[in-house]
Formats: sequence, C-alpha cells, structure tokens
Amino acid sequence: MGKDLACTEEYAVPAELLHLIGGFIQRRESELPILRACAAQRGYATIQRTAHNIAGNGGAYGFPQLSLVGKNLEAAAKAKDGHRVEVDLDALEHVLQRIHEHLVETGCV
Amino acid sequence: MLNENANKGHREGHQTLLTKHPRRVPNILIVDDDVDSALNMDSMFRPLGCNVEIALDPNEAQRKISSGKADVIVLDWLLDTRTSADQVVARAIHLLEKFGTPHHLARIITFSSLNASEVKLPFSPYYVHADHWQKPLRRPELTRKTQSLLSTLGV
Repeated sequence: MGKDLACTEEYAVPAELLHLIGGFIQRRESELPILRACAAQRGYATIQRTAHNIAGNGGAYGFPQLSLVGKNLEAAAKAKDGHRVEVDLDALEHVLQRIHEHLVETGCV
Repeated sequence: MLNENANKGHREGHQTLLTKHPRRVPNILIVDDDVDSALNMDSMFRPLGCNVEIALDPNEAQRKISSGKADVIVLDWLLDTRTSADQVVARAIHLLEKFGTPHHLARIITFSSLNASEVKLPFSPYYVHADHWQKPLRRPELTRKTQSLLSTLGV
C-alpha cells in the first residue's frame, strides 16, 4: 500500500510521510469551503496565510503541484485580487481532486 | 573455551556499561500552529530515536517550553496572526525564572520563511539560538540539518 504513490513522476511522497498523506489531503479538502467563504467576504488575510501553509507543505509532502497552486493563491490574496483568488481556488480544487483520485487508486485512503 | 568465556565476559561488561550509562534520548519540542508542518518535522526526528512533543498554539508552547525539559526547540516564527515566537519564548523564560524550574540548556532552532536577520530572540541564559532554518526546505536539506543538529547532541 502506498508504494505506487511514492514512485510516480507526478508525486514524490517521502516514505516516512506515507501514513500521514490521507489526513494531510483531507485537511486541505476541508479548508476549501472555508477559503471560498473567505473569498466571498474578501477575507484575504486568512486566504493568504492558509495558502502560504499549503505552498510550504505541498512540496514537503511530495505534491509540487499543490505547492505551486498555493504560491499562486497566496500571491493573489496578497494582491487582494478577487478574480485571481477565485481562479486559483478552482485550480486548488482540481489538484486536490486529482490527488484524492490517485490516493484512492493506490489504496492510500 | 577460554576465549569464549572471555568474549562472554566482555559482552556482559559492555552490556553493564550500556545499562549503567544509557545514552540519553534527546527531547525535541516542535512549536508550530500548522499541524501538517509540525507532523512533517516530527517525521524527521522521531525515526532518529528522539522523544518528540508538539505544541500547536502559543499557550501550549509557553507551557511546554517553561517545563524546561526540551533539549531542542524547533520554533515556527509566526504562531498565529498575533503572536510571534519571541513573545512566547520571553513569557516562558519569565516562568522559568519565577519558579526556578530545573531545565536543560535548550537549543532553539527558528523555522520560518523570513530570513535570519529578521528573526531575533530575547537574550537568556536558558537557551542558545543555535540556528535558523529558512523555509521552504526540501526534505534532503531538512534531513541533513536535522542529522547535523543531533550530532551536536551526541546522537
């Protein structure tokens, strides 16, 4: 279980973190509606901080795409650019969905 | 037979030495309000045989730092939107001094996306600001820094 996840080109999850991946992705998924609500209320500071953590942890947990989306979202929130924030939240949702599907395929969740 | 007994005696003597003077397991305190970041750091130290504790908010951090048990404190700089790590450390030192708590000389590692010049801890005889690790850190670099830090503790 989980070995395939660590071996793909797209994902490079360190072996020591394989058992934490399910929880990590679940927490990102549960953040998404909160981030959408913040965007609707222009709560950019919360989005910036959360996106900063996503950017930092995405790479550490072996998901560089997640890190990239986090960086973009952080920059958009910092610029208080509502349209870019919405676009980046859509991108975040898409990336999370792909990772989730991969986790299910590889038996990690 | 003689050699065998001599070897056995040597092994038993060695075992006794190990039992009498076991290498002390270092206590690591990870202070970070982001659970995933904290768990990532935990996964660096725990496999190397360390005792790891995590504090996820300023109050928990202050309590655990002021217990005086940590050999190493890995300190995320900004704990929430209002509290920075230097404030937490200052309060913990105040408690250590007030209650005269026995403590180890802790090594503090600050961990932040800020650069080292932006991170200043209050002076104290209770700890040394041993290093600053700037985020983002890739795992191989984090592994190297962790191993290097533990080697200074004799691990």
